[in-house]
Amino acid sequence: MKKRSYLWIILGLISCLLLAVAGCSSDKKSSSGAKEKVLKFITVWPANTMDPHRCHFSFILNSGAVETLVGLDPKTTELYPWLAESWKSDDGQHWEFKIRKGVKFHNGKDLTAEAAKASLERSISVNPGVKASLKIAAIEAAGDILKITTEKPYPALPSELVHYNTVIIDVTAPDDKPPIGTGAFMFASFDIAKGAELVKFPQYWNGVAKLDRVIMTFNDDANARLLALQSGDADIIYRPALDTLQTLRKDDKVIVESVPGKRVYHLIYNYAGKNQDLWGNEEFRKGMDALINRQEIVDNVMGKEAVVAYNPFPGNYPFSPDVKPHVYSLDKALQHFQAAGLTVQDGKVLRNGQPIKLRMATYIARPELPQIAQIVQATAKQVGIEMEIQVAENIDEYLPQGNWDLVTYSLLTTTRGDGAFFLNAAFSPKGMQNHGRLNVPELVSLLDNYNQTIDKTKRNETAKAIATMIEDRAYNAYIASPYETAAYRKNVKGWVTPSNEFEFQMVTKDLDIIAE
Amino acid sequence: MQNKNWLLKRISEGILLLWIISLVSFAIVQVAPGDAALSLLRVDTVAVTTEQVEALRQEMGMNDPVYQKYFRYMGNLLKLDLGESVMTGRPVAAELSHAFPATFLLAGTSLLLTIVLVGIFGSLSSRFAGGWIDKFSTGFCLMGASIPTFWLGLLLIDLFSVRLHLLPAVGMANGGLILPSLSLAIAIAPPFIKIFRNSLIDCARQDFIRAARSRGISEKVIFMRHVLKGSLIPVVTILGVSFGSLLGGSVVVEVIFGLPGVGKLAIEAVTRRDYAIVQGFVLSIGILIFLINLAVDLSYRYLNPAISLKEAERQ
Repeated sequence: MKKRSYLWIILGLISCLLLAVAGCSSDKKSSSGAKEKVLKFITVWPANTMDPHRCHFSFILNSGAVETLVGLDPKTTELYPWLAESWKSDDGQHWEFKIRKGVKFHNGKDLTAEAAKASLERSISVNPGVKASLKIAAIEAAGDILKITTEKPYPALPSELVHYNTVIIDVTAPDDKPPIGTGAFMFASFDIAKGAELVKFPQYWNGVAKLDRVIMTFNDDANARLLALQSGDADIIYRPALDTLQTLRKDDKVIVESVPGKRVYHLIYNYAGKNQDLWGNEEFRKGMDALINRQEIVDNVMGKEAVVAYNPFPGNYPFSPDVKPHVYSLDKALQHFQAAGLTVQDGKVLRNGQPIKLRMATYIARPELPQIAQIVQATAKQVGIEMEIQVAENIDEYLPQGNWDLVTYSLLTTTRGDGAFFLNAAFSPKGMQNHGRLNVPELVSLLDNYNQTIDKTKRNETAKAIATMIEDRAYNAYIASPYETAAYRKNVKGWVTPSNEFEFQMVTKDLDIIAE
Repeated sequence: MQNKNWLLKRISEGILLLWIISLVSFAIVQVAPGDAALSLLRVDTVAVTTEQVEALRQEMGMNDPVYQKYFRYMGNLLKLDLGESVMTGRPVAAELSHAFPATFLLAGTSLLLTIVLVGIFGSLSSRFAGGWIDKFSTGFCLMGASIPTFWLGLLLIDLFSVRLHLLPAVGMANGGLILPSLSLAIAIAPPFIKIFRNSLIDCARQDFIRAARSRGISEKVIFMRHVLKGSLIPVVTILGVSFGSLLGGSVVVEVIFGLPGVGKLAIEAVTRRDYAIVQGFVLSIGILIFLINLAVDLSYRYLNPAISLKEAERQ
């Protein structure tokens, strides 16, 4: 009898389990439309709000549902006319953007200069970052022309209009619903906590999309994204983990694509800290530069998924400095240290008879940075420089405290097809990314000149001159530029891996999926 | 009457506790480093100056004295206004209510699976104490308690999603809750299995059970009415507390399985320094844990009426 009681209880519990499983499975969708082309895409970050003007991530731009006035070509990284057919300015302060005709919002309304004005004004009013970025004093709509006056001459304006928070939406639509944009896809459903289901927009101005539907979700765990691709829950994943790329490349059903990124890992020196006398000395900085084994970092820390960098703009941009030889050499480093007025004794560098002690900050949000710090620390030790590594939880809150000498850092440098963001943020004396508080009058003067130059060729030349000065004088040390990667199943066609997630649509009208 | 007085006492204690929780959640935010200004200005993609950051801080009242901030916070709280998320511009209550269902569902399913595991392993290993089933159960408990939840989650995805293609790797649709719930259940069940097993064995050896058996009461009735009820007291108490910790502590699983829960929301809010969300999260989890503990106390009194009687005697 006792045994039967146990049996009944166990059977009851197993029934509970089965019911739970069945309950969880009840929301399984029935497949509809066998010929429908559906693609599943998993990106890294979610949209933290459905409002594309406030969203902290570029999920909404990436979804292909919205567009900006000015676009950025993912292959050439050149600006191109998008919702604005053309733009011009004679003085860099008074701009005219001609709004493209025949563009419709997803609710059927026409895109007009008035609608674009309302959208930009809303973006500025709800987003202090956009306000700071666009520096707009007045906007006016005249026919199909959008007239923008900036607070002062601002040649970077077209480039800033690439920002994902400046997308053009119908602001008369309810803001508690998915945004009404002009893209090739429109939201069928959108839950910021789960993801979005997008369907093609039949009235898209630039030709109807090849896909019928796109299921776009996110997961910031790289292993989970990888497993989703392998299990067939995803057709495309953005940014698979670095250490899984070799395995993925062996999978004959998957294509792994790596493209040069726009981010540069570098060392920032503290020109206002207790060792400012060292960093203020060009020979000392050059000595530090010679201690960095960039190739080892690219090969061993970044699994060859990066390129060596010596300046903020590595690559073939019109504003990239000419390639110059940089030698990793302890002897050369010691020569520079000696030239800096320090004592070199038995292969060790001394200041006032004592070893130099430095504090190097780093952070784990980018896992390669602490490893780079360790490599630099080990090399410096060989010439007698002691570096204490400090791992900060939030590096941007740690750095203003000033109790550091150098920091491993990561920043986008060639944003929106232009160097304006990086140069101003990192080298303007009050720039928020100028963590080392570097203030060189000659550099600042060049930067002022750059900010006022309207002609594109001259502008690129000035940016190049600034970057060359940064490289030649070893203001900070640029180390490597990591690739951006994506992995997708072989039956996916038309995918273009972007060089970063902030400036491009990822779901495009050309994206397609064919039968396996 | 005793029960009514007890409930009133617990509610008044609860009000005091809520005030303390509100104070703690306010204090946490005040001592936490940083603020939302850098995030709001998109310093990673927009060239802003230190002056612009400072101006925004001033505009948002971040530089106001602490007492002013506290009065503002309490004033809003008394009006049941948790404030707005600085990141989304939406009310905190709306953000939390959007995220809580997924967490409730995950915690509820995990708890259900835990109960099933505890029921099966606990009763079988007590029934066959010392036998191979008992040893297997001990091994299962050791394994469950030792494996990190995130790793177990990845193993389950690898097995059921990648290799067997039975369940989705991410999301909640199409049975997507099963793997995360199982990960959590396997992690939290082991101590309850041991407690339940030992409790069943102890209870079955009690004099009143022997007395019942000698009176000819059927084994089924003895087990259901006496052994099981008596053994459940310690399990229910700790399970209740576990439900509270599941609500706030399942963030790792939420991240791995891409579940849109409140833990994930809180982590993102901390990263973005969206402290209104953090305050709302601490407050709501505090209230929920209080309510769960209250429910556990009530169930405890139901399962063991001797508690109420002893209180009455004392009074």
